[in-house]
Amino acid sequence: MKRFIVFAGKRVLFAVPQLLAVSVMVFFLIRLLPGDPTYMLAGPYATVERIGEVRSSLGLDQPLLTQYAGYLKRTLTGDFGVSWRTSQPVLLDIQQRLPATLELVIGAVVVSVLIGVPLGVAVAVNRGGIADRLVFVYGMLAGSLPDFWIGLLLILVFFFALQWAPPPVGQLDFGVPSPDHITGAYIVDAALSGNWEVFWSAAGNIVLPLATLVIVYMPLVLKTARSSMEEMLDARFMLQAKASGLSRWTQLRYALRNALPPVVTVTGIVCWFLLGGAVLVETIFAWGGLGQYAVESVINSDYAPIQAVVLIMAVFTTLVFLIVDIVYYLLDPRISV
Amino acid sequence: MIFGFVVIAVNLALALIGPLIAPFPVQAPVGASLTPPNATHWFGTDVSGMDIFSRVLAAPRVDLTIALVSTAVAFACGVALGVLSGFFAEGTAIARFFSGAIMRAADIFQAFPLFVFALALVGFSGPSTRNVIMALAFLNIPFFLRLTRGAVLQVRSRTFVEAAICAGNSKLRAAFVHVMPNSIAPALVHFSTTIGFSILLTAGLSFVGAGVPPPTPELGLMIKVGAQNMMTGQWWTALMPGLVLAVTVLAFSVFGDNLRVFLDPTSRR
Amino acid sequence: MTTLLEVRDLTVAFVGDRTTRAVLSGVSLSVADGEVLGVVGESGSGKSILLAAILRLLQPPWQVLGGQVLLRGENLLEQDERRLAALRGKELALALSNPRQHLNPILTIGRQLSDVIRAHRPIPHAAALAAAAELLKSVNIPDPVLRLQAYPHELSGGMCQRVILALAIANAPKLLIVDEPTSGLDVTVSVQILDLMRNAVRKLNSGLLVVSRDLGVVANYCERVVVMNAGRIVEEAEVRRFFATPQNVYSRKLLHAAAAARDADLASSGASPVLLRTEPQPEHPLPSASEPLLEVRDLMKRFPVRDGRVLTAVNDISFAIGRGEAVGLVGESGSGKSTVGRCVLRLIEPTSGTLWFKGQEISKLAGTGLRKLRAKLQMVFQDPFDSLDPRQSLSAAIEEPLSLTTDMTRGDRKARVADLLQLVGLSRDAASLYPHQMSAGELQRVGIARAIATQPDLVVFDEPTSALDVSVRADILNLLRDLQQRLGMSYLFISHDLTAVRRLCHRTAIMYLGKLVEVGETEELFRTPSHPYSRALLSSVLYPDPAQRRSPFLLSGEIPSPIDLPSGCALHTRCPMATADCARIEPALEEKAPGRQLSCINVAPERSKTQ
Repeated sequence: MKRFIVFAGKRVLFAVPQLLAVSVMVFFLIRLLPGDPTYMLAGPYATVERIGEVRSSLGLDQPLLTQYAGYLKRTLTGDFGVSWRTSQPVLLDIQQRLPATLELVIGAVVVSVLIGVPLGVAVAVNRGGIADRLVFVYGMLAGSLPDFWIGLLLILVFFFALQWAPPPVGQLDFGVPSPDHITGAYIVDAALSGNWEVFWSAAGNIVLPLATLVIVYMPLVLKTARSSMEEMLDARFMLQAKASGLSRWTQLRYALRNALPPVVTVTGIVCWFLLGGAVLVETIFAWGGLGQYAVESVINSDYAPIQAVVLIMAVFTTLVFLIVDIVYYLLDPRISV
Repeated sequence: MIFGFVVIAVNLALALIGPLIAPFPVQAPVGASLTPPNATHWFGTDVSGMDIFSRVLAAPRVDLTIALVSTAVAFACGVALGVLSGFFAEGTAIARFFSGAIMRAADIFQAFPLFVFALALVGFSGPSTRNVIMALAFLNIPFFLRLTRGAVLQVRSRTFVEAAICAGNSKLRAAFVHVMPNSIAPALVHFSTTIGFSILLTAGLSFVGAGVPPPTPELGLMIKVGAQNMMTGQWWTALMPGLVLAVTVLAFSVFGDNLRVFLDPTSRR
Repeated sequence: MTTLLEVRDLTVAFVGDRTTRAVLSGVSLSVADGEVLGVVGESGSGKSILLAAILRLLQPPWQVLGGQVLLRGENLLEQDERRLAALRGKELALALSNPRQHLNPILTIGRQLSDVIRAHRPIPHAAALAAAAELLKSVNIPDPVLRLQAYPHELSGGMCQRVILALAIANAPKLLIVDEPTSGLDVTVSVQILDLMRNAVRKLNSGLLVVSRDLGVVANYCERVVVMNAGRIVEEAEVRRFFATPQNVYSRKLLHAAAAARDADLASSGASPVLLRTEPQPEHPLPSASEPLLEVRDLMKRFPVRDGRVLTAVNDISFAIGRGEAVGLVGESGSGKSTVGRCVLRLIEPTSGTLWFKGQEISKLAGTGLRKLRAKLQMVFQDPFDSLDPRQSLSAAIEEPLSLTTDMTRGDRKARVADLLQLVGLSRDAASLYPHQMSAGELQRVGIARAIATQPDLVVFDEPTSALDVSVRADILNLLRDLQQRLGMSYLFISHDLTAVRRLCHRTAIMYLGKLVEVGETEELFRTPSHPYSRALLSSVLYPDPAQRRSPFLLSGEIPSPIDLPSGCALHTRCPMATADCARIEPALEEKAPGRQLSCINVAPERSKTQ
């Protein structure tokens, strides 16, 4: 237990310089722009006063280090600037949109793991069957399916042809009011407040985008679970285990315990991919999350929000990898403190 | 193997001569809007009446060029950095520091979700073919770096590296003459996969409107244009370009898989 | 004695898609209660397949095509998985080599032992843990209760092998099957494991089946021998009769090869009638005490490890090598012998100390000076496959040092490569081949050719024969000896193979945990080792001769980690002669008799009786 606290503590401390470096990267992103970033950040309709305001808040006449310190301070206090497109503080825009994205991403990870791991393990144990071959072929698709295209196909089939799914216009059906704000994620909020009409509407609307993400990103989990379990079933320690007369179940438990750590790693990677995939899928389903916000900002050259979204996604990724490392540590005693 | 090889060969051929053999002009309306597939327009026409089949034939010139160039740049930078950071992972304090610094930098770049990072880079530098290439190259460097470094760390602990030093090689010469050729296989395999993946990213960027500008014949753009019609039942508009995209990307990744088996030194011994 | 296991006419084949190839053909053998049977064979003889077939552990593509495996009359080949699971571990148990790979890496030792105990006895986990601690104690693992919590990666190789043994005897099996019990272990540890194994089966009155390629193990521990070659049993005999009068041609070849690698010993002991070739000691005269070619003074090498701790690989040693002299450096793993070799060549930087070569200090050389030095100071490595660049042709490999450190023209270099190939006994055609096209023995010849290409004055050999099969080993040793006589080079011969050192070296230095413990003229040292460690080391050599079984062994336990070196004399934790002073006083290497240096506060060297 003490070892674990030391490890987790060290790992969390290690995340601090990582986050700082991330902020440096984001800070320099805006300096990729040709010309004076002031005009870019303030937007095309900015008044002279607004430009002056932005200029002094950026401190462009000061040394780079001072500018960065200012940027860091503003970021830590939640001041990401103002979006000229929505005329709102970026922080507010993000607060409204982040829960929708998290709902989608976390939902997709959970479903992928719940289906991918048992399925992968099952085909690894019963090697050579038809299921094994199907899983192998599906696993090959990992990383090569265009998520936005799969989303469109699902819409074509389930909305247009079969009319099972609601139209792809957001998180709720037309005319359904959003639930009371608790977490910001509609399904969770509706369930918490017992608003079942909204709950079913939200659940119906999330099926297609969620399915898109799962179809495209689950193969990675599936493939890893399968190959890792296969490798462990063939591992040399299994020979000694079998020769010692351990029961079939104990043998499977031995293999499974050893096969889990790589699956944890890949789950983290899937999370990372999903953030990118969510951008495209949100765009198709008019989801109104952070990804769609990023796209709209890029198209309209609204730079302050882009900077903020990139930063938040990187922070999220860093946290995910932090959790992965800690879980991995709990699963594998060979990791040193 | 054959599947991957054929699709890639067709792609390369189309990149060279695609626009020339297209039956219709690729950037102009040539028929009625939204004609379903028929004998004249094999894949139908899109909303502005452009022939989808002709545009699909012309697309590899854009998509493949972007993917090839960006991957080649990423490969060259990634492998060189990987060899240096791997080979000097142990050594003098300065060598260790730089080796570590390269790795930390790669860590930081990879904290950004790929597509979002690409979107931001292109967003900040402006949507153009050149900027898409630069963004993709930049994004892919860490992958080649890690793969090569991992291989180098294994190879450098093998005795033939010490033996090479004994034979009078300088460290740098040993790193590039003896270690690099023996640790390049993972990066080579990844080269193929990365091309496929870059095509996917290029298409994704265009799909959201942050890639190459319309009406360039590019798969992502075509799917974007077709997306609206897809919801009202004109399935051919986005289905065909998407299918071509999926098959192409898959071909490059299957080819990469086969390449790995082929290059695996243990299978050759 | 009643028959415990009987294998009758067992035939196993590799069943591929297109071909079926027999790997065991009509194998028959038996083991009685309380008997120790040795199965001997080289790699590829089918020993491992036989083991797997007996335990029914064969996986496709290997298939049993015919025969019977009878355990007290019960044919194992006809039992279902459930019955087999009940028999495995309980009636017949297996202990595999390479212990670290055969233990579950992410479960504690206690958990693994308790799982195995509870697979055959319905007792609660706590009771099983108590039994597990008893088992660990019985295989001489210190602090057994504490070790129950340990994971395999926290234990040394020797400890892991003890755990594997504990797993195998956990349920008092009637038959214990052991696969290559000594592979990968240091000699002073492996003899302890072998003793444990034999004592365990004696106590249980169980049968023991030892599979090994090491004739020394068989000669010292077995009662009967079965020789396998290419999937057949070619000879079966009582162990003394086998070593005295082997009947089969292949058996004779095996014995001959084992003996050739140690004929120096036989010449001195006059022991065995089997041995056909006897060669004398290194008889070439030594140019008497001139200025030494290489002098190592106060060499120290420390590596920083995690948590700011320090691994002391080489702990302040000094020695010299004369012109034309071959010096053996002997020690087990962790002794630092390979580190010494690498420091001498400046492949790694010494932490402190100086190196003198031909009267010049070389410890500070850098850049071109260092590269030029390497023409005169060369090295041959342990694993020939690993020490050649797989993408370089053999001629390119041999030519490389010539083109990098000499001014020879291309034509001269080509001619020199051809000469070198001939010198090491390879044909000219070999030049265009790549490493994967050659055998280990041939590649080691290439490694030697490459090392002597620039006509060095000193060649460091780092375990040059330990990756080779017994028969090849003898050939390489002959070659090295030949070359030294012809070219007059000096050798620093680093090895744990004592017989090879005895055959090749004029003087021998013995290392333990970074220190030289004894240095002397080879033959004297081998006959009358004085330091307790030297005596233990030499007495743990298993000679392939049942008439010469080894004497009782001296040391206990495992070699301590070089990270936290014991205080005082590094050996005191294992030494039977240790006194309270040994834990305090660090003994210095002193000349205690002419030509014999020793570092021990308790012993003085015996005078050699023979000279």
